[in-house]
Amino acid sequence: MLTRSLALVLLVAGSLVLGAGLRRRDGRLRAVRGLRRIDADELGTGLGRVATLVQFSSETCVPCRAARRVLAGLAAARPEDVVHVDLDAVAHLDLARRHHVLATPTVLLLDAAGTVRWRSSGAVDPAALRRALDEQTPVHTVTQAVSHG
Amino acid sequence: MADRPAGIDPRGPRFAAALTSVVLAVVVLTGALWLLAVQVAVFAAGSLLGVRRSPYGWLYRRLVRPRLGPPSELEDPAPPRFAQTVGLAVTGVALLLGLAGVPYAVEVGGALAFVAAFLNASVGLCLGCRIYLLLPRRARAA
Repeated sequence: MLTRSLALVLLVAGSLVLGAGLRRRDGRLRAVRGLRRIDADELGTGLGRVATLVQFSSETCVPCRAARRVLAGLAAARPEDVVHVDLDAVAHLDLARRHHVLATPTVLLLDAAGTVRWRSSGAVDPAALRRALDEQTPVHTVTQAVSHG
Repeated sequence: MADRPAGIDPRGPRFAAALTSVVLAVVVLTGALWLLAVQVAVFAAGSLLGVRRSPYGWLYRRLVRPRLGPPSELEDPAPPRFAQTVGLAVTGVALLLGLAGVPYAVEVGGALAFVAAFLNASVGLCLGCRIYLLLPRRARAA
């Protein structure tokens, strides 16, 4: 019985550590390397001139609603520069799969050219998103760079 | 009223996870095969009938929900229901192995399911729900 009690204590401690670790990852904005793009056709709407916030939601997921409010607010503060697109992950399963969306809400921050630059899963961090948006360059500089190249 | 498919009170599955953790903790402590069998039956009910009609969901509506205010938001019942299926698979295999006389199968299976249930109850993290989105569409429709 003593060994079993000890085993249970270890299980509880292990679960708490695991939970804390998973929780810390939740909502953290992570930089995305590589050149995965999402174009306007896939989104069904035009890209923002500076950035596009692509949100993957599921029907009645609770943190998705909070995320929707935050992202809609960020987009409303910079109309046309920042566009917020909220997609149902199930209805856009191919897109969700291609971008390894494992949980809702997942947010992808696209730059002006549609390249995925940042991502987060779980409840969103408005301050981190605002910083990431401030780093993005508007579309005309990007097109200039492309036309010169 | 009973069949409102739109959403469920998210505190229901959380309460069920707390009860599940307690039951599975006792399974780990005692190695009681019959108690694991009870939990397997509860998982089976949640998986086949939906979380609202599982015994713990029923207890929540009868005993806990009337003492709480209405939920501020509703939740999709499909992911927690899927999580019940995952729990059923893990504990079901442990039960079969235990019945076949494999030593510590009951305890190990109970421990695995305990971690998932305890994570859900304590920090609101549903591991089974996270797998749900990875499934192909036709498996999810079932």
